[in-house]
Amino acid sequence: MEKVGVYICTGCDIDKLDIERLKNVAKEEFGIEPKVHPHLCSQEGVEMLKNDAAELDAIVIAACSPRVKTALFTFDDKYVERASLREGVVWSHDIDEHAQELAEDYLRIAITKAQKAEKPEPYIEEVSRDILVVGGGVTGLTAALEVAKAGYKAYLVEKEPELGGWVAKYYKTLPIEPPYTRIEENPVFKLIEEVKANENVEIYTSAQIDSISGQPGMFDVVLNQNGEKVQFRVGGIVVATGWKPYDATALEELGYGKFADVVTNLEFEEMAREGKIIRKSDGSEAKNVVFIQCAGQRDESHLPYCSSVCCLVSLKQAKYVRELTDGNAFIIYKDMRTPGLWEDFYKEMQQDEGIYLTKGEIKEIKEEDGKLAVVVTNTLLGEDITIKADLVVLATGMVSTLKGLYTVKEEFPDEKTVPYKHIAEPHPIKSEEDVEVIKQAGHILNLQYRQGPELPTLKYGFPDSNYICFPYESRRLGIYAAGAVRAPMGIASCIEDARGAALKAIQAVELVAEGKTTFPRTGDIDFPNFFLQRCTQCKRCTEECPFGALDEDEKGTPMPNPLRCRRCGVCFGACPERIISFKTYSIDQMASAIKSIHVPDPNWEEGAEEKFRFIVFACENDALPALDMAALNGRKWSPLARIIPVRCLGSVNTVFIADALSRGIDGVLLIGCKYGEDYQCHFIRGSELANRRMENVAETLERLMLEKERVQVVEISINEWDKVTEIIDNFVSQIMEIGANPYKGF
Amino acid sequence: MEVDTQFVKDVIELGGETLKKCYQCATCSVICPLSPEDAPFPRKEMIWAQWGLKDKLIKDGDIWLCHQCNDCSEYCPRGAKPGEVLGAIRAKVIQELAFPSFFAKILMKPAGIVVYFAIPIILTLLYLSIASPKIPEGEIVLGNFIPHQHVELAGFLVGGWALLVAAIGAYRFWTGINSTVSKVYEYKLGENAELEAVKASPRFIECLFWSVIDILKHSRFAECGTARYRYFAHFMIFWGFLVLGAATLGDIYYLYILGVEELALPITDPAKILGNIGAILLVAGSFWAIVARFRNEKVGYGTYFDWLFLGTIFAVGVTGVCIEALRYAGSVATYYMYLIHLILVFTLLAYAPYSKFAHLIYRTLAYTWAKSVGREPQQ
Amino acid sequence: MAGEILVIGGGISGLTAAIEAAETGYDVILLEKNPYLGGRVSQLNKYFPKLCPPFCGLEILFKRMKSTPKLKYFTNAEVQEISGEPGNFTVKVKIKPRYVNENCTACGACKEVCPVEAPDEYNFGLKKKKAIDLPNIMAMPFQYYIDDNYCTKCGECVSACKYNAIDLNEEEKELTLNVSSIIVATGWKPYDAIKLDNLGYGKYKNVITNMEMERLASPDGPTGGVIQTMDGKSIETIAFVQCAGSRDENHLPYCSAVCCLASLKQATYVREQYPDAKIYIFYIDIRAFGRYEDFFAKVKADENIELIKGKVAKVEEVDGKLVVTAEDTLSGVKSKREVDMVVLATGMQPAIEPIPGIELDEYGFVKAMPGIIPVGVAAMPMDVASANESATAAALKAIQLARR
Repeated sequence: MEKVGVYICTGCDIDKLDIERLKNVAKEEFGIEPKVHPHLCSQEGVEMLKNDAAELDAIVIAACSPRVKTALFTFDDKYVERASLREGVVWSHDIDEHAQELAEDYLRIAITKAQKAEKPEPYIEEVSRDILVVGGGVTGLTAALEVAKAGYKAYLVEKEPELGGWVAKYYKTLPIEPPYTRIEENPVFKLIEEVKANENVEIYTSAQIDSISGQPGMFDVVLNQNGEKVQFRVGGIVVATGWKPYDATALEELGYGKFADVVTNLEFEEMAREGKIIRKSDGSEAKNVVFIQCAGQRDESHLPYCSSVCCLVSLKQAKYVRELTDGNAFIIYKDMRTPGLWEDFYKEMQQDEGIYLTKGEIKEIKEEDGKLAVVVTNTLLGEDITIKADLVVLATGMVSTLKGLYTVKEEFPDEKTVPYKHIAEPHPIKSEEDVEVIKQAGHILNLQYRQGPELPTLKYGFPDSNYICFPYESRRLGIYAAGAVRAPMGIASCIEDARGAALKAIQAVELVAEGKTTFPRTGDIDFPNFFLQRCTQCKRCTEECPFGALDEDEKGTPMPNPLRCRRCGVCFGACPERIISFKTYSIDQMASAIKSIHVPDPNWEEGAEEKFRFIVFACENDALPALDMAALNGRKWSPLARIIPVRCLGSVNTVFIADALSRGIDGVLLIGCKYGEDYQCHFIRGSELANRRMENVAETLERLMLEKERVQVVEISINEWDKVTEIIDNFVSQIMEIGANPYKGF
Repeated sequence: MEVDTQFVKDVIELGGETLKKCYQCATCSVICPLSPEDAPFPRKEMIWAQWGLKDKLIKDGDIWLCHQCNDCSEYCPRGAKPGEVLGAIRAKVIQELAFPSFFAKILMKPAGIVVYFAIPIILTLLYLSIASPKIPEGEIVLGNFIPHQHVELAGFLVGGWALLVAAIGAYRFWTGINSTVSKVYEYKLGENAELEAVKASPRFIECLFWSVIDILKHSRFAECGTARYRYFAHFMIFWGFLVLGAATLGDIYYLYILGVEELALPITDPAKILGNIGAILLVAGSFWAIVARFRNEKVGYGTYFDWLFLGTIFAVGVTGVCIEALRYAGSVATYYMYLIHLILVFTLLAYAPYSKFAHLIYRTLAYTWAKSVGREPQQ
Repeated sequence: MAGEILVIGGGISGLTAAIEAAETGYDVILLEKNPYLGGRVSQLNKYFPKLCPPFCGLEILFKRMKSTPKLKYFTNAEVQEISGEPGNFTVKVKIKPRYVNENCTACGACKEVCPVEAPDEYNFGLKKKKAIDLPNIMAMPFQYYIDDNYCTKCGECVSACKYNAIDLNEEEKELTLNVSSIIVATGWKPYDAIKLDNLGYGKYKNVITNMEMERLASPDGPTGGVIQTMDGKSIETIAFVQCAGSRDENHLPYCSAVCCLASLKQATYVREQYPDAKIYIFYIDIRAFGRYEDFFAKVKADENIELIKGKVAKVEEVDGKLVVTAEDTLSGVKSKREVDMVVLATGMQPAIEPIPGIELDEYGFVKAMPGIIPVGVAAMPMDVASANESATAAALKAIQLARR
């Protein structure tokens, strides 16, 4: 950018620095006459900035951290670069020559970045605002209806001939809103009517998705409805394909398949819907019914997780026994899980004198005098008990419909690839045939994405978010999972979830219509550009993109889909040819910023510590705030380190390291988010990739006879501000012990 | 294991409506000042009752160690009122142990009140028609209306019956709590270290003696927190009975040792003074118990079973006092009051094994058993 | 002043609802009664089951707010009254003075001169603050505030402030908003543990609540993140008492949905700092629903963590040591443990005070009504992920009513 204005604030003790020398940096090194203000964030200061901004392309504000007064220092589409003199220098360092040099470097970096930035243009395409809802159960029905109510068109696709999903098979249901005390008439039929009556919902039953291609705002959907092709374009997608029951034939130890009168909760539900609770063996009425909770759940050899609703379901079904027969219902649970206001339901059902409850473990199920005998141990009754039962109902769990499908390539690593640590359950495959076999299991979305046809899953086949704060984080922008496909849940939660996912799909459409991305860089219009003439088809970018934004042609050249992009810069960090850049975040910009750091004269005296220089690449989401908080708390760290915030460690290209080391920087520290199964990296695997890349860098360093310790990656959490300073100081002293970078001055 | 649905229904009907509310948190077992360290009550009794495990409860000494202080009900997070439920369980167990059991069942139902009074009334009418006593003229002397020997004979018959039935119950109870099933709890201490079946030791007499001392002192009752009044009220009623008993012994002394012919004693007579002290204790104690029971909704207002017994005691006391008052007033109504009093005394004594009065025997035995097996409350 | 969607409460649910709606393109006004956004989660050290810090999510949410001009917010704001109907509600709002305006740079000069020390409620009184202070280290807005309850109006801060940011004469303001729908995200407050008279809170100093534990474990808490007894001793044994007030008709009849997992999480805090400490968790049912079961399984596998099924009904001090008693209902033995510290897993109580126009249920949770959408713990007890799901769902319901 050509016209860069530089503004130095002297408030908040920044004036303890030598402001004249700072001004000279701008003036003499960059030829920019800076303006100095005692209180830049005051009304008057902002007014000045606003007036000047009209004449400028970019504004450098040398004041507080970029995290502070951000909205105030935002001037329409002007590029703003902040030099953190307050948190980064005066709050965190003793004011001396070191601090002065640090401040000057920060100003240099900021001005360089501003000068090297380019004006971004949004990627604007004609988008569809329609929403595709996949799955016609309660979740899908709700999503479609709610989308329609918000004024958007919904396409509802169901593979079965009828809408309603599993719930349509239920006799009665748990309440869908408080008070959670009663058993309700099945609400799904009314919901189906409502959906059918809504003109904004187009329903396709007996239909499967052949393919979905494109990107949010412009997904081209091809359906196969009874052999006929249907095509349309949508902007966003809600995946509500629900669950399948856990295969009870695996539960022979509980008598399923062995005794005719051992049934699953789903089979029991259908039996109740028929109006009669009978023994399958002889058709007589079942009077004593034993419900076994967590059947094949909370069990490493079956489903390790809890399906969340089975306790409630069994309480409900126990009531069926009481209503439809005059028999008794026994519930054997591990823990009675009726959280929140659902406790009211437990209380209500418990009142029935014919419902017997105890914690217990099933020791044995056997046949005795034509009846089933359930032997229960570890009970609350003080001894093992044997219950004579006419019928045993297994509370089997919910399995995501994505389980067992070929989802994304990275979840099925072949022998050559090292699985990502963020993948909880990689399914190693040996050959291409393996993949074909897995693909036989069917498909749901059939996304025409390079990385795979379905949503990536988190664990146990659930395409859930790993972020507690962001339950609708999806690695496929514009596509959101809802209901029991995402996580095991009951009807009430499914309805709520359907609404949440629908909102996110609508939001995605609205954002991409303006060329914007979603969080954490919400509103960012800048997207990566590829200088493909120099591409070597190494496929790193297409492999590593956490969001499947890049497809490939046959040769392996990336085919970017800017609207799928989340602007993490992982591709930019990955590219060995340095051909990927954003307008406001480019290789040239970052390399120049690194080069702008003043590295002292190489002819310095041996052991003079002030001549050491370090670069710290700090993730702007966690490491940078941690450093700011450390500064706020008066923590100090080495003034020899220059902190350069990055959008993600994954966006640190190894060329930055090479540039830094060849410039004479003595060490480079990368501070990013925690990675692995419980990753905190907001871009899924950015910090994991940085770590991998730096392992490779370490090898290169050793070849160059440089100590590998000079480049390190550290993971921290945002609240580890009490540790981050120590991390920097330890790094600095470790390298100082090793000695100066021998390349200094070359 | 047999689940007895009817048993659950019966306990609920006998005043344990809150039984099913229990969710087994065991707050009650910890909060109870009388509950021992091992196999504490009443948590386990609650689930046994929920599951209709009749056999276990009949053979459970612990339900008798409960004094319904209601500390448990005060702290119960579910409003399950273990105090009240245990009372209902005791009623049910009294019913089961009583001979014949169906008779207890009838008397425990509110509708059974008809039978409750019909029997003594019919017997009284029968006596009146056979012996046809006349209302005497002049000074009010009860012995002139119905001879003491008649009352004594009836007393012996009724008492004998009651003792016989009680003995049957006591035998059933004692063998029950000492049977293997009565090992109140089976639990593991690490590897295979099972608790031995708990049985009463041979030191029966010794334990019984100390139990009686405990009862006289009400030392267990004194632990009560929430329903502290129960300790005092029960103490008064209990000692009221004892003092009245002593006064009766005085009367017997007068009649058969000194050969006094009639017992219209002056108010200054030592036996009379003793009797009046007993009567005051009885009336005041039961009145206190009645009033205090209305105070706390959370712990419950008591069951029909409780009220019938408490009401009878109160009525016996009040009618007794009335007789005396009327006698000193010289009213002939004394004789009618006397009849009512006798009817009430009959219900108290004859139904003792079927009513709450039976706790006298079961609790005493449970105390003895507990002492012999070392089931003492934590200190 | 007119807005489209009103969100009451700036905790995690309110922030999420407001931001999701604003990012979808609707005008949103967010009201928060505290002088800072972030609510209860900002007081937590880490979230279960990932053991990640809530500051992380808040940082992103605040960042999103800064880049979403459609979202406006007010702190120190309390709703007085709501009238009207869906699509057209009139809301009266009282804005209490902060006494520190936007000129504040958070330089801290005022705090240095402030002579008044006060208990810091953000830290449940375990730490002192100044009458003028930053609400917390992640404060949004990043601006000091004056606590009316303690400030003596001595004026020292006014003279110390170089930026003309303090006005001790600031007065209460009234706002009237016209909105189409109202998302109620008023959240929760910890149940008052003093009421649990058998559990020793307030009687023994080393009986603390789970929220106090969060502060103790937080790097910005009273001990700088060191978990220790109130006399500064390290922890050898500790007991977690589940359902302290929850699932209890004498206190909170409902289950608070998060306390089991919160205690399992806090057990890991203790474990991390004291690898040899013995940890006892007394519970009725461990409610680790869904994938949270993984976390439960992981904690359970730790041999220094003992789970005892039975509710603690008694906490006593014997010879200077705390003794907790419960019946282990699986073995039928009274289980006593001598511990250095007792953590009561106190539950969540709806924080909302009655407001004309909003109906509450028997427990004090907000009832859903046309155009009035309760979310998060204002609606019912739930964990953070569920709260944000409900907040996102609420954003949809709100935009259905809003004029675009």
